[in-house]
Amino acid sequence: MGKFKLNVNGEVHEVDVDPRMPLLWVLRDKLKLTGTKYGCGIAQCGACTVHLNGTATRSCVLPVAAVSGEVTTIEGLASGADLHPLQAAWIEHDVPQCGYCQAGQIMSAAALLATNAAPSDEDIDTAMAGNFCRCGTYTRIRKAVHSAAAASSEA
Amino acid sequence: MSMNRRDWLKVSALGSGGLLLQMTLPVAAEGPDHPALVRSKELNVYLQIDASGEITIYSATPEMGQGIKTTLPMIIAEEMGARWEDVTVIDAPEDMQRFGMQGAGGSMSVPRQIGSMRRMGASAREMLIGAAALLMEVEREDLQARDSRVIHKSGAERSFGQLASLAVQQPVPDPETLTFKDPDDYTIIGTSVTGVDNLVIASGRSQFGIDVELEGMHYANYTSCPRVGGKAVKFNADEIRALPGITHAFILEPNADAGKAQMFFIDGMAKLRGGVAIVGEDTWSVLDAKSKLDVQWDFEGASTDTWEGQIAQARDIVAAGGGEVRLDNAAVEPALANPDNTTVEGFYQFPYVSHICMEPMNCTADYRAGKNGADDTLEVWVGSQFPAQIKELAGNFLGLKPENVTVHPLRMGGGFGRRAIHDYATEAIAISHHVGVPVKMTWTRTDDIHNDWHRVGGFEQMRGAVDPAGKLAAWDQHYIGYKYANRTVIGSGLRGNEFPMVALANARVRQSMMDFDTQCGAWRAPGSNTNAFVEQSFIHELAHAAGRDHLEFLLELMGARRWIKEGDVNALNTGRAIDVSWLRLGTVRARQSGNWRPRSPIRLR
Repeated sequence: MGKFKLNVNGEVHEVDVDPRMPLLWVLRDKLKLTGTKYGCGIAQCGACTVHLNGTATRSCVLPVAAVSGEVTTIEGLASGADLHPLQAAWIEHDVPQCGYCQAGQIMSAAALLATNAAPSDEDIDTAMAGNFCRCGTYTRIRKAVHSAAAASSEA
Repeated sequence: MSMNRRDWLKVSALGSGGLLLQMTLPVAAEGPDHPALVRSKELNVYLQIDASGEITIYSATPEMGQGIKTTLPMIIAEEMGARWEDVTVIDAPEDMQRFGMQGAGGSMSVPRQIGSMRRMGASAREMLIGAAALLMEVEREDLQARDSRVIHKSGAERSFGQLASLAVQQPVPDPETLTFKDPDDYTIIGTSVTGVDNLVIASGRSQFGIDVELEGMHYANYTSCPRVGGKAVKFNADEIRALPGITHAFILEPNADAGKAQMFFIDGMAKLRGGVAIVGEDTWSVLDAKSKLDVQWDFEGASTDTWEGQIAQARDIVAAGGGEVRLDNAAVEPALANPDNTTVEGFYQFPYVSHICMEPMNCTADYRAGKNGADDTLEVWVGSQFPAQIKELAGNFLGLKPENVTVHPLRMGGGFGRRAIHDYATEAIAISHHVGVPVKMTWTRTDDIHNDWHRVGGFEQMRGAVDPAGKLAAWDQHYIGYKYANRTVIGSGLRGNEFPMVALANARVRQSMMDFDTQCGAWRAPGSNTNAFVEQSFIHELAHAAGRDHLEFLLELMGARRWIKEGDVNALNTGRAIDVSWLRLGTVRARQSGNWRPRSPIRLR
C-alpha cells in the first residue's frame, strides 16, 4: 500500500492504496467518482477515458503510482453550472442511447477539440477510434463534435 | 367480484393539492364483464401534476438505450395536451401490482403499451377539462387542452397547474368514452426530443447498476467453472484470503433450482453455477486476487461442447439425411434431379455470438438475516430487462417471500437480451447471503464473454434449383440446430413462418435438433437474424446461378403484396418486406449506379 496525492477536477485527494491500482478504480471505488466507466480493463474500449494534464488517457491501465499532474474526469468537465460545449452538443443532438460509453466519448472529444478547434470528419474518426459504442451512436457523435466546435468558435 | 370499470384509474390528492392519476388495476377486474379492461394489467405508469404546473411521469419500463424512458412519457404528454418542457420523468420502482408488467424485450415496449399510455393521457386531459369547466363556468365542449393549458373558445384559459387541485376531484372517465387526438394534430409525437437522461449522462451523473454505492458495501467477483455444469473442488484459499484488500474467498456450490422461472425462455437460466467468490474492499483488489486464483475444477458431467465437434456432427446429420419434416413438396426432388435445371448447394454455418453490453454484468445485493424471528430480507440494485424475475429467483434460491425482496431497477449500459437472464444477480445474492454485508458483484469483461448466454449457433444445408428460364424450381432447406434436453433454445430452429418457405410452392424444409449444453439465450431476434442470413444469402446464390438480378429475383419470390395470414400482425407481410427490400437493396443500387429511385414512396410513419 502507499499514500498518493491526486489532483482530480481541481481538488487534491489523498488515497492509501496499492501502487498498482489503476486510476479508474481509485476514481470509482475510493473517490466515488463513478462517471468514469469500466468497460474492458485493457485499454481497448475507451469507456474509462479521462484527461491527464489535458491528454485523453485510459484510466483502466494507468497505475495510480504513475499519475502525475492534473486529472480531469467527466464530472469536472463543465465549468461550474456551465456545460462544456460538447456536453451541450451531446444533449442537443441526442447522442446517447444506453449512455454507458458516452463519458469516455466526451472526454476523448474534449481532448481533441483542445488541440484542434475545427476537426475534419477524418480528424474526429481518428481521435475517437479507440472509443467503442455498442449502440452505434458514431454518426451522432461526429455531428455533435462538429456542432461543439462551431459553438466554441462563435463564443 | 364486481368492480366498476372506472377503478382502472385511481385518483388521489397530492399533499400539495395536485392531481395524481395512478394507473392500476387488480387482476380480478379483468374478464368478460369488463371488455374494455382486457390487457389493462399492462398499464404501467402514473403521472402527477403539481400546483406549479410541473408534470411528473413515472417510467416503469426498463431503459437500456432503446429510449423507452422518453418515448412512453411523450405519448402520455401528447394525449393530455401537455408541453413537453413541463414534463419530468422519474424512474418507477419495481412494483408490478402498481405498474403492471415491467419488462423490455422483443421490441414490444411501445406496441404493448401505446394504448394504455394514450388512455392515461386522455383521462388526465378530460379531468383537467372538467375542472376548467367548473372553474370557468363554461361548457366543457367549448374547451380544449393545449400547451399545458385548458383554453376556452373565447380565449380565456387556465394552466394545468391552476387546475390540478380541482381536477383530482373530477370523475375518472370511462375508458370507452375517451377520444384521442388526430395524429395530424400531434405536437410531440413525431418530433425529435432529446432523451430525458441525456443531461445526467453527459455530465457523468447517471447511475447504472455498476455505479451503486452503499454504506458498508463490499466489492466482489465470481469465477464460475469454465465448463458449464462443472464445479469448484478447492482453490488456493489461504493465499487469496491473505492478499491485501481481500476479506472473503469461498466456493459456492451449483444450484439449479435458483434458475426456475415462469417465463419460458428464461427458465433455468439464472441457475447458480459452481465457482469461487472473492470479496474485498475495492474492485481492483478483488480482480487482482482473481488473477492469482488457482482452482481445482470438477468437470464430471460438465459440457464437452466444442465448435469443431458441432460442425462435424452437423455434417454427419446432413450426410445421413432425414430430419423432422416441416414442409414437404413432392416436386422438389425431381426438380433437383432434372438435368435441365441448374442446382446450387451450400452448407451454411452461423456462430455463437456474445452480447458485449458496454456495461459488464453486475449486481448489488444486500441480504439481511431477520432478527428475533423476523423474516430475512433482500434488497437488490440491478440493471435488468425483467426486474421482477429477481424476486422469483430469490424465492427459488433462498426461500425468500416476494414481499421481503425489494428490487431497484437501474438504467442498463446495454441489454440486447443479455439482461433478460439474471445469473449475475443470483451470484450477487448468493455472495451477500454468505458474507452478511451488502456486496457489489462485478464481472470482468472476460467473465462477461465466458458466461454469456449467446445467440445460438447452428447450421443449414441448402439445396436449390433454377429452371432454364431462370425461375426457382426447388428450394430444399435442412436446419440443424440445438435444444436442451427438455426444452427449446430461443432462436434455434425454424418457426415455420419464415420467408421464403411460406411464400414458395416448391419448397421442402426439414430440421434436426441436437442436444447441447452451451448457454444460449435471447439476442435481438436470435432466430430471425440467423435464418435471414442463410436464406437471403442462398437466394443471392440462386439468382447468380440463374443469371438474374438479385433484387428482381427476390421480388419475384415474394410475389404479390399480401398478408400471408390476413389479420395476423405477426404474419409475414410481403408488402412490407417488398418495401424494405427496395429500400435496402435499392439504396445500394443507387450508390452504385447513381440513378436508382424507389418505385414507390415508403411511408415510415
